[in-house]
Parts: sequence; structure tokens; C-alpha cells
Amino acid sequence: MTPSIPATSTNTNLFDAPSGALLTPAPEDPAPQNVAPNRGDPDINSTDTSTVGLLPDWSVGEWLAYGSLMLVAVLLTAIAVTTLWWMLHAWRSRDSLQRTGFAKIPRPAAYSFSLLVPGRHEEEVMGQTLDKLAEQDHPDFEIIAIVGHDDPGTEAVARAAAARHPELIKVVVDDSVPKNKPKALNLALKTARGSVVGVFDAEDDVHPRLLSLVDSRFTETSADVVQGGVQLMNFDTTWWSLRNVLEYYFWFRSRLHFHANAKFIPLGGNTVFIKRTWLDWSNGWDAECLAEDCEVGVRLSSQGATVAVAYSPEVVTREETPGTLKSLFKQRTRWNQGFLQVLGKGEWRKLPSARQRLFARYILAMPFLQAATGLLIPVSIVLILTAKVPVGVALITFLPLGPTIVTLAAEAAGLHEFGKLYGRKVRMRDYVRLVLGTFPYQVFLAAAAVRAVWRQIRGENSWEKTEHTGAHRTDFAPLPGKEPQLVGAGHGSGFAKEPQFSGSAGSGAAS
Amino acid sequence: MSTTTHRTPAHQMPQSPGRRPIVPTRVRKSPPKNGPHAWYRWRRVHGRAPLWLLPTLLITAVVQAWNMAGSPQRIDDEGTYVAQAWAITNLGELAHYTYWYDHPPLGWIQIAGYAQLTGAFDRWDTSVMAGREAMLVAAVISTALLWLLARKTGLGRGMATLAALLFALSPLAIQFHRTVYLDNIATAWLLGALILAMSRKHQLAEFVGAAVMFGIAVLTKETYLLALPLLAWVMFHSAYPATRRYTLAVASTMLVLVGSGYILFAAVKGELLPGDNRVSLFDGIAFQLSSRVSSGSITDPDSLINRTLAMWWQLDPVFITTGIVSTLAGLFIKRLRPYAVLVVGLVLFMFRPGSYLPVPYVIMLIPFAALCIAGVTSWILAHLRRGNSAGKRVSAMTGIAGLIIAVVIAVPLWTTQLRGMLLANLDASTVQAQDWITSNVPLTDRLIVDDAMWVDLVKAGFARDNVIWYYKLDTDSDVMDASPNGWQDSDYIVTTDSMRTFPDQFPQIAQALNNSEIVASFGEGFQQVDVRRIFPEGLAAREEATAERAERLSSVGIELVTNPSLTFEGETVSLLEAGQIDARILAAIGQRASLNALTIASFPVVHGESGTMRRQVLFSASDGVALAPGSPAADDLQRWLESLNGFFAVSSVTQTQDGVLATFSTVQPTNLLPSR
Repeated sequence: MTPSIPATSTNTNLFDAPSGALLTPAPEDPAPQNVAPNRGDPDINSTDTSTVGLLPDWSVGEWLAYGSLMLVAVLLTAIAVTTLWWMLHAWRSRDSLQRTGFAKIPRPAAYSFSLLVPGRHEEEVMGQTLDKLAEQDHPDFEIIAIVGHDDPGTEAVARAAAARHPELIKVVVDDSVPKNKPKALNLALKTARGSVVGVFDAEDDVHPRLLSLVDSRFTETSADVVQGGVQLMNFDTTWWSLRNVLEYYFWFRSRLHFHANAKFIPLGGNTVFIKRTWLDWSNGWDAECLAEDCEVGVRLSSQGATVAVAYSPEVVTREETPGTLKSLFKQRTRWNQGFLQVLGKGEWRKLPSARQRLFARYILAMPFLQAATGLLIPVSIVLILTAKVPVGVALITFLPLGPTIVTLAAEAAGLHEFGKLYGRKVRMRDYVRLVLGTFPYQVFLAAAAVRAVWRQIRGENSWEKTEHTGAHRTDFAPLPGKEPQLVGAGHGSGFAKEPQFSGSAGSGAAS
Repeated sequence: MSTTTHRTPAHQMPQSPGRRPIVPTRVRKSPPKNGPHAWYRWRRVHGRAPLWLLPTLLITAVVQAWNMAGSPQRIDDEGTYVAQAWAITNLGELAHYTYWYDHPPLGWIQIAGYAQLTGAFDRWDTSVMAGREAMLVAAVISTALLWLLARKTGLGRGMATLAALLFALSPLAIQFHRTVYLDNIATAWLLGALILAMSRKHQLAEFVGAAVMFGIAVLTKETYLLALPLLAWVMFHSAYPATRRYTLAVASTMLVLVGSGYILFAAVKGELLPGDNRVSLFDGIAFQLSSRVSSGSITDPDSLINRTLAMWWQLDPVFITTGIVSTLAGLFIKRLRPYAVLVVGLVLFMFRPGSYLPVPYVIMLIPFAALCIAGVTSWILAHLRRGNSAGKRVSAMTGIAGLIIAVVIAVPLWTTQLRGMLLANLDASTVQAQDWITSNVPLTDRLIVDDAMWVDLVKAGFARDNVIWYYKLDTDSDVMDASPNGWQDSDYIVTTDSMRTFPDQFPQIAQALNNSEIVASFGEGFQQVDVRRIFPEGLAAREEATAERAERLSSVGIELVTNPSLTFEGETVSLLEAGQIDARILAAIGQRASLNALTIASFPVVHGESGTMRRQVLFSASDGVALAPGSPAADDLQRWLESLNGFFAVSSVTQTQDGVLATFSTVQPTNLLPSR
């Protein structure tokens, strides 16, 4: 190598060679000092110009730890994204939104209807519900109120209503023990004469034109089942009722339509209309199932029955949230347990295509996937803050946060729309509640899911009733005040009246 | 009104579902979505698009690719982006120096991805050209997207093609599209985002796509955030009111999320906020927003902004003029208005007082100006044929006259510019300088260089720490630590136009320039690349020593000329007497003269060097015998020359038609000669 600037070097002088010859090459000289001052010692070979491998250089332990962390994050993200996408299904295009509603002008009536209204300790709301149902503008329908033999209060209210509308309302007394909703429905089915059977809950606030629209929907779509919209109204009562209301909104407004398209649909508990022939085929509802509505939906789906869903805000069936967080918790536990039962029963295996079966498995297991999702997010945050993980891994663990935040934005948009549609004032306070409630509600849902699994393992499958106060009926005079009666678990009395979600319909679904 | 269900013909209803388990199977009757049917329908609707689009893309690709390595000369910025891309795949780091959040990294990550997938770095001797190849791909994609955008804006196929061709063929466009600027990549993403924002079919998904694409555009080049109002306008305008609440909420959240990804990245690395001895996102943004030197006033003819504008103007005055006029006209044409407003807004933004105007700023303007030109042309043609009012007809007449004038002026201008771009090799000087360095500078030496040659020199075998991007010697603490004596720790500085432009900004570089002298120089004018030898002892001391050495060399040279066994031809005698011949050559000739009578034909100048000091010697005859290639005399002389060692070693000996050529290294050892 050529020496660099030997600025101060004192080499042997070429011309001092002893031979006196003019030019004699000098002997090798020691390398000149201070070749370049203080430049450190860059290692020429330090530049590794070979391509860096695509996979990071981790030990086996690191691969396991980081790999599982990333896998969980990616799975959670996938769940959150699918949930988000289903939640927004109705709004994905203008046409799809138009398809979700009832016809503007209904077709002439073609079916006769039997409306089943089971009631249990519901004397405060049942009379009014029956009166409103009797106002339906459909030409051919009957109402069958089912009351328990041990519930004279409700029976009295039902009989009074029947007296007011003798040609429309019948009262059936259920003396089975223990009582539950599917048993009551099956009993009423024996006397029902309509070609279509509809189910309502005792506190439902039903629009007078609903039957005509449903009738038209049957004709337009030649469906075997029509699921109408149900909407909780009291979003401004508590932080969790806000979330509960939004769940309903996204479920009936949007997601259920996706399920109908996918041909696997967990039916709701009310405002559901099934052709009599199909109910005969299914032998009514499964009296042993905590989620009998979901169960019958799965059975009908597996035999190829078609379900049409329609949600028009003006004719939606209005309800209220459960009165306390505790009863909401019980209700959610029961649904989740019902889903577990349906999953275990395996009717979904008879679904015609593998795609549907996979979908069914996913939907029925959703509450539990969500429970995991909700619980794992704090875990990953703690991990990132405490453990030193590579930047890429840390970034991937944040991935599920993305769909969660988008979900929150969609929920805010939904809340705003809800307020506009139903003429309710949505305040800043409600948006703050929405945001702050995201995580607690997720924890709440996760807890309900865990409890459902626990109960199912223990073989506890008694009904836990949800009580109502009529809070959704703001347009009506206040009902005679009576504290909602809690019917505890294991009583074997009281039954469910809500549509069943696979997990949260939309709100909180993605976190 | 349709319904949410799967359709089933009424006659296939269950006949008697009461009798279990008889449940009828259902048959789909709707035609399959895919298959020949869909293809025919697509062809019927879009069949003529490829007839216009494909030739346009072919022209774009050919014109951009032809001589893309020769023109324009590669510049420092290109080298930086390519070096950063190279660092990703070869060093596993985000940049070849500490990444300091000067730009979001997505732009060169994409270049790195392209290079990795296609092996572009292996395909080119000059690494920057791998980046230019990625730009070629980006330009072709952008051209196609601009065509689509023009169609979505309501232009006919011909006018869409006009917009695309203006975008692809304006000399201004070609110059900038060839250059490795992140803006070129961002343009493609922005155009894609706009197309999706105009969608009507699957609006939710496509708005989300638009938001993500726009986010990528901004993370590719942050200045593209200026197009956000345009995107918001286009999106809001095309959003259906019934679903707008959701589509816009989700899309804007997605955009925020993509942007937050960058912030999160900084946070996870612990580099979000400024701190001691570390880079931070905050500092990077603060630098871009406030610390950048203003480009000066538009009224100052020597200001940077005026130089930038002059450069744009010189490339294509016709496109710029037509573009501005069309944009102003476009403000009054509804479907062009968003794009016209964007262009006008960007131009006004450019002239804000105290602004820093990046040279590639024009890249974002080109597609939308082209769109406005095509849109206005379309309007003119439409109103020429069926102008429904006198005013509009007059406008159309004026417009067509203007267009004709523009075309008449453009033809010769474009021809000249395009000829240069397709034929001139402006990068030759940089390539030659690199070649000179790799064949003459030892790998242990330290060089201060323009980033344009950074990767190439590192690939040639120089240690990363010994190839210093000049910008870093004054700004990067790691680099400063590695050179505690600053410029004095380097041996060479290679200067290009960009380094010569602002020497005062970088004190170390200014010092290095002041204390170095050119040892090899290539090209001239803007293209000139000089390799300068740095003298740590200072130029004054060096010059004194050089003068003294010349004197000594001269005296030895005069002595040699008198040697009877040596024959000197041509100007060799005067060179020897002037002291311009390397001491090692003098020593070698003197030594060899004791064995043979030699004829020295010349002391050829090494290409690129000035010739004040000659380090090559051509022997044409030995003992009166011509030194033909392969002759025993030539072989013998070569062997002897190669046997010289120590300070006298030759770096190469070659046998040529004219004789034996010996070359010595650039740096001759001092004090080989006796002092007087």
C-alpha cells in the first residue's frame, strides 16, 4: 500500500546510498508515523456488504416469546378488523344501506300472523304492549299472550287487554315448572293459527305498521324468516346503557344484514317472524337451550331457510336496557352460555358449505375470542413498557389498537346518527362516556364471557331473568312505579326477552 | 328496492317442511360473477381504455428509461435516498448514518423493497441508478393513475392521454421523474388516493383505501400533506350523504392512524421528544419547519428560490406557462376546480415569505398542472364545436390560439431538451471520478464525498467510516467523534456542484476545500467533479514544500537529461527540467540506465489529472530496440519495473504499442531527494 502523507517522516535519503550510485532503491523503511492523526481504527472489513437476512437473528427463546406475542397481536387484529367490517356492513355503499330497510310502499298483505307475547312478572308493561300490538294495521293477525300460572298480576293485565280486544288477543296460561321462554312459546304455538309466527317481548314498543311491512318483506324476498329491528333507546341513562344501545344499533342496523347474506344468522329474541311450516319442522323452540332464538336460527339456517333482515328506524321495536349493570351482566352471561350450548349442540355442522360452518364456529365462539382480546391488550401494553422488545415486535403488538380506534370513531358516528334518527339530543357528555367506557365495557364483556364458560363447565344452566322498567317509553305517561324485581339465578323462573348477539354487536367489539 | 337476503325463486319454497326431514335444497340461478361473462362485460365497458393507455405507458417508459443513467447528472439527494435504501437491505438500519427523522422513512423503504425484490443493486455499477429504476416504475404507475384520474374527472380518453403524455414527456417532468426524489413515489400514492376518493361503488372500503394511500404518500414525502385539503374536498364531494357520516369518520381515523404509526415508531424507539445526545422526531420536525434556511426573496436575483425557479423555467417554460394559465382557467371549470385550487394553493405557498423551497417541490405540481391543461383543452374543444354563448366561443377561440402558440413554441424547445436528455451523458464526470478514486486511492484512506457516490465507494471496498458524506462532518456527532481533528483526519475530498454551492454552511468542508488541491478533475461547469488531496498541515506549508520539492526534482531532472545512455523525446526534457516528474520515475530511470540505454518517449498525464506532476513514464526503446508488446526487451523491462519495491514500487506496468508504460501511485513520498 502506498503510504499516505508522510508529512513529518524522516526517511533514509535515496541519494545518500553508500555506493554513490546515482539512484539506489532504499531499503524498506519503517512505516511513517502519524499516517493520519487520530482517526481511530476503522476496520476495513467491518462493512458487511452481504445482504441482511430477511429474518431477524433471535435465539429460540426469543423466537417463541416474540413469535407468540406477534401471533396474538395479529390474531386480535384480525378479529377486531372482521368485527369492525361486519359492524359497518350496512354503510359500505349506498346500495347496501338502501337494502337494509323495509320497502317504502308495502305490497298487499299475503300472510296471516300469530304474535306470541310471553310475559313473566311484567304487569307494569304488558297491558300497554298488548294494546299497542292490537293497533297493527295488518288485516289478518292474532295476539297470544302467554302468562305463568303462578303470576296472577301479569295474567290479570293480559286478561284485561284481551277483554278490550276480544277478537285479537288470546291468553294462554303456562303451568310448566320450571318456566322458561321457549316452553312458553312452544305452548302458544299449539294454538296459533297464523301462517307466520312472530315473537314479541312484554315490554316491546311496536310500530303499528310493522306487520304490513314484514308481510311485504316476506313477499318481496320470498324469505322463510324475517327479522325486524329492535332498538334500545335509553342511551343517556348510564355509561353502560350508552354502550348497550349502540350494540343494538349496530347489530340490527348493520351486522345482522351481513349474517343474513352469509346465510348463518343467530336470530334475535323478538320482532322475529318465522313461517309456520318451518316452525313445525323445527318442533318449535328448544326448551333446553338458554339461547333458544339463536338455536332455532342455526337449525333453520342449516336446512337452508332464508332469512331477510330489515331495519327502518321509524318502525323499529323499541326496548330498554336492563335496569342495572348486574342484570346486564347476567343477561350477557346467559347469551354467552347459550352460544356455548349451541356451539356444543353441533347443529351448525349441518350447514351446507364449509365456509358457513367455519363462519358459524367463529360467530358462536366470538364472545370468548373477545374475552381474550379484551384481556390481552393490557397484557401487551405492560409487556411493551416493561420488557425490552425489538422495535418491530413492539409496533406489531400495537396493531390491534388500530381497529379499536376506528371502531370508536364509527361508534361516535353511530351515536350521532342515532341521535338524529330518533330525535334524541346527544351531548358532549355522551361522547366522553363513549370513549371512556370503551375499556371498562370490554372488561365487563370479558368478565361475562368468562363467567359463562365457568357456569357451563359447572353445569349451571338456569335462567337469569332481566327486568324492565319501561324507560324506553318516554312518550308515554310514567308507569305506576314499582321497583324492578330481581329474579335471581337458579330460581327457575322468569326468562329472556332480548335478541342475542354474538358478543357485542359493534361497540367495543374491536378492542 | 332490493333486500338483504339471498334470492330464491318462489317455486322452490319448501313443499311440505312439516314432514321432516324433507327440506328442499336450494339452487342458485344467478350467473356466476367470474368467468367469461364478466370478462365480456368488462371488455365492453373498458375495452378501449388499453388502446390508449398501453401506448402511453410504453412511451413513458421508453422516454424515461432511455439514457436515464446519463442525464441528469446524479446529485447528492439521490445518493442519500439510495444510500438509505441500501442501508436497509445491507446494514439492517434505516439509514447509512443515524436516522434523525429528517424525513419519514417510508420513501426509501419502498426503494429498498423494490431493489431487494428485483435485485436492482446488483444490476447497476452505479447504485443511484437502481434508485432511478425504481423512479421509472413509479413514473409509469403514476402515468397510468393520472390517466385514470383524468377519466374519473370526466375527460375523454384522448384528453386523458394528453394529460398523461404531458406528465410523462415535459422536459421538466422527465428531469425530475428520473431523479431519485421521494416525491416521485409519493405522487403515485397521492394519485391512487384521489382515484379511490372519487369512487362511488364500494365507498367505505375505497375511502379507507384512499386514506391509507394518502397516509403512505405523506409518510413517503411529508410535503404531500399539503394535498390534504384536495383529498378532503374530493372525498366529501363524492361521499353519499346517507353513509358519509361513517365513510368519512372511518377514513379520517385511518389517516390519523397511519400518521400515528410514525409517531408510535419514534415513541417505541424512545426518540419522540428531544433529549441529551439523541435524535428525536420532535427535533426532526422542528428542523423541517423552522430551522431550514430560507430560500431567500423572490426579488433577489441571486436567491436560492430564484435559482430554483430559473432551473424549472429553463427546463420547460412552455409547460409552466400553459400550466399556470390553464390552472387559472380551471378555477372556473367545476370538475377541474379542486385540482386547480391545489396548484394555485401550492404555488402561493411556495412564495410565502421566508419560505424554504425544496427543489423537487415542483413534482407535486406537475400531474395536476397537466390535468388542468388537458381539462382546459377539452373545454376549449367542446366549446369550439358547440359554444352556446358568444362569450364562451370567444374564450374558446382565445384558448385555441393560445394552445397553438404554445405548441409552436414547445416543439423546438422540447426537441432540444429531449435530445439532451436522451443523448447526453452528464453523469460521466462522476463515474470517471469514482473510477479514478477506486484505482488510485488506497482503501485505507479516508474520503469526504458527495452522497451520490457513497454506496459505490463502500461497495468498492472502502470502510463505511472512511467514506464520509460531507454533510455529516459538521452535523453528526458520531462522525465528528470518529474524526476528532475534523477535516484533517481525511485524505481526500471529492467535490461536486452541490458541495461547491454552499461551502460556508459547513465549516469543516470549507476548511478542507481551502487546504486541499485538485489532484484529478473531471467534467466542467455544473458537471465538474474534483478529487482534491487534503493537506492536514495546511495549504501554505504544503505549497512551500511543493516548491522546494520541484526545485530538487528539477535539479535531478537536469542531471538525468545529461545521462548519455538516456534519450529523451519531445517535451520530456522540458518537463524534467521544470521538476514536474515524480521522484520515483527519476529514480527508476536512473537505476535502469545503468543496465540499458533507454529511450523515454513521454510522461503521459493520467486522465483527469492536471499534469503539473507526472507519475507515468513511457519507455519506447531499450538499447535501440523498440519495446514492442511481448518482445523480450519489453518483458525484461516490465519484470524489472515490477521488482521495484518499498517507496519505489510502481502501481502498474503495461506494454503498449508505443512501449512500456509504468504508472506510480498518486502520492509520492517526500524527502526521497536530497535537499540543496
